[in-house]
Amino acid sequence: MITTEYRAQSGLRHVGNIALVGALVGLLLLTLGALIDDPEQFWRSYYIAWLYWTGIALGSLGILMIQHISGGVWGATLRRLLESAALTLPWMGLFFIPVALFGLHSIFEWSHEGFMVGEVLSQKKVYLNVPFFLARMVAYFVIWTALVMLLTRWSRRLDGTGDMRLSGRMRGLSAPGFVVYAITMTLATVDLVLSLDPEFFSTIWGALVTISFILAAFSLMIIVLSLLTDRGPLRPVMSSEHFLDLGKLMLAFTIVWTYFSFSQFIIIWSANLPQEAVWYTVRLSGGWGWMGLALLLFAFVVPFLLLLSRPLKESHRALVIVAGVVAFMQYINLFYLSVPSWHRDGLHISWMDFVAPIGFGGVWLLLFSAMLRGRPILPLYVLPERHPRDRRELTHVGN
Amino acid sequence: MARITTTRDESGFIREPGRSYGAEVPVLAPGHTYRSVTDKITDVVFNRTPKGWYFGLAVTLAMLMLLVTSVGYLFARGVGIWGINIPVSWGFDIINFVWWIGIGHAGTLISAILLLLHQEWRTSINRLSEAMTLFAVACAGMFPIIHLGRPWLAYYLFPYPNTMGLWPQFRSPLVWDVFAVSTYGTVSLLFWYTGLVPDLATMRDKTQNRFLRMVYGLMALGWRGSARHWNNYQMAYLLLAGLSTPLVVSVHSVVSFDFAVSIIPGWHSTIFPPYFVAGAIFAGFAMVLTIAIPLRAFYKLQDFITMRHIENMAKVTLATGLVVAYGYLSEIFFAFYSGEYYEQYFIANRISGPYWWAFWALILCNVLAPQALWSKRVRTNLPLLFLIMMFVNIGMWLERFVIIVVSLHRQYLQSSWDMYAGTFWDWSTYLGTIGLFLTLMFLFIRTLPAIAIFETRELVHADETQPEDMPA
Repeated sequence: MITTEYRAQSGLRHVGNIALVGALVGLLLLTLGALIDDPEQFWRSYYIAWLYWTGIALGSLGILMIQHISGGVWGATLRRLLESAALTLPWMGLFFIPVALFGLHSIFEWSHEGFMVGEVLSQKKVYLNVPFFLARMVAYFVIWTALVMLLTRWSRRLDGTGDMRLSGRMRGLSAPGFVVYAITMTLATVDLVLSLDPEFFSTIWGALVTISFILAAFSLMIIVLSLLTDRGPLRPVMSSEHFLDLGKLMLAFTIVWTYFSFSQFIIIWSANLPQEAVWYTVRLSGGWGWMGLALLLFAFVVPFLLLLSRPLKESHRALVIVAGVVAFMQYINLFYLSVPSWHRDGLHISWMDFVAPIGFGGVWLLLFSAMLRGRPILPLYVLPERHPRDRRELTHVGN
Repeated sequence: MARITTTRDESGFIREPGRSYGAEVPVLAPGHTYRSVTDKITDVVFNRTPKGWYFGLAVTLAMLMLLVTSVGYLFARGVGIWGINIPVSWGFDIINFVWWIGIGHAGTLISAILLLLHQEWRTSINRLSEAMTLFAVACAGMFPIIHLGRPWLAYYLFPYPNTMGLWPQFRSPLVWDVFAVSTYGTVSLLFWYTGLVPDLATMRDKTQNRFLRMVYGLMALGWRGSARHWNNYQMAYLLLAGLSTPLVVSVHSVVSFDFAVSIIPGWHSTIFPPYFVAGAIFAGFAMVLTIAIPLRAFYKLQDFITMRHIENMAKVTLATGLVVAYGYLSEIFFAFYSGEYYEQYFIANRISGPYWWAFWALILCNVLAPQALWSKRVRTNLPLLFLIMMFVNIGMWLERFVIIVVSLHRQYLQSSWDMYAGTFWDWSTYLGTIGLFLTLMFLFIRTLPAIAIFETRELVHADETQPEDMPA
């Protein structure tokens, strides 16, 4: 029996302050950009940053369900963080409303009257048109919010009552819930990212973008968990074995992301069909190629090699650096998937692309820590007192 | 005030209330000792041959003879005896190749990935499924070779220095296949044999027969079970597991590239690599269950292959089946979304063309039938489970039929459309490889321990002590 309480406040107070500053400064500068610089660029930067942080929430929802289905010690310590991250989804959905009202034409070529002409594009109008698109967006957010609400409500009730059946109910929802998640994520990533280039299509797309979101979310959760361990309330619970598990999973997700990305690339590059090869031609030339190379190196090669090391995974201070690189590179990945569709003739990065993610990151972190606050940071009745493979007394390692 | 309460069970694990952890069904029936485990497993080999075994072997040997005849006739007459034509230049041979190689994947997954993931339920099924991998790869490897017009020149596929100026086309996935499959076969064999060594020593020590003692003794490579042996052994086994892990994904990804890097609608699809891998694991687990369910009943191995194993394998089958279903849906959705004429035509042709029956039978076998596995009652009902696994076995064959034949028979050029059907020799070769596979399986079960003895003994050990004391 453990009779300690674990609350988030002490660990996250600083994070909240930094997030507030980030949100204010970031969004203020971004708004300034719309007024004095380029409104079109404003919407594009706004959109990519919004998408990334919404993706973190979506990835967290996916990991939460995987965790419910599979069990496993790694999940117990992450569950409350994942729930809080997923709870930001409905709020992040609100930030899409300005885009829907004013920004669609700056972002989606297909939203222009008269763009969807020609043999292929005219056919796609059935799917890619503004009313249907907005209806789908509403449907996605309603479905995701319902999943998040059910899972978090039951989890909270489990804390209060200790009713064992709730645990089974969460697992029972997560299995079919993940099927729904896979389908909605596929459609949503097509709408939100793939349709930026209205002519391109790729059957692996849904899996490719979803795993990127999951990887980014997982890395971010490692960072938060490490913060809470370092100077926060989780210090007595977390052991190097926990971080070893998390590091292994981050390695696995990194490999899966690489595998999906490489599969898409090699298949399209080899077949060299004009309607799809051009998507890569844009991304391999005019400066975009360097971004692709950076992705290969810092989203795969470097994290992969580092994460092979066992001591690194066991030390959360080292792991957190790798997690930071991975999370950042997944933002670059999203940028690389999206922005070249607007700038086909070469690399294009605006100063707003730097302030927007900081602003939205601040907003997201504020929401996240608000969700985390006020609830025990570890789910009661689920927490292992100690990692089953933690043999501290034998090896004298760990903190 | 929030308080944390946890339950710690007698073995020291903290358990989440309400989660079963499979605890009610153990991975090893209670009451076993080291001795009873060894006896029970080696008895399968050392006891008098059961009559049923002779009968089974007779049937499979007959099928094997059919294979020999078919291949002999093929070599005499050439591939014209098969149903292949232009445009369907890949028929049963490649369907069967992909089907067999997919079946092998469960073995690698169980032995390598589940080992690294500390999944103890793999223990009593790993040997069996590794053997299955090996025999399936043997069957698979045969098909591309006999499909060559001149199979005696198969070695041209290897890059070796020669005076003819021959060099394989390394951009072709067919060449990657040669390397992927031969690596796969080699590593699987090594893994299986390494796992066997301590058990072969047990067999050597247990047998009463002088000749057998010599044979098992030679194969055991002088194993004496010293601490140093075990230390080296564990290291080698883990390393081989690490080597095999990428193979689970890479081999079938390369097989999928055979199709995906081409430009034929229905083949050229970026989802192919993960979807083929999931399909392979799906097919593989279905085949392990197809073999394990009758085997445990025939040899009364219920203590070792428990309902826990059966249920877990059924769950993996369901999960990978869902991924496969996602692949089908994804192809249909993106064909619609693409707005491309040929993409849409191939889907329409698949669903309602002349081979519509194959597609709908495939949906029945691979998508609808496995949904029954959501129910625990189905997962624990052996005859029903066996039936569903037969559906999957057939469904995965149909999947390759749909992908290969239905995509090829109507390509871009309408003037070269044609129909395809397997001839007698196509069917006899396919049936023949099933005979080869089952013959090898029968011989394996009769001559080698089909369940890992020493790993099962570790389970007995784990039963008695705290898990903290277990070797890592």
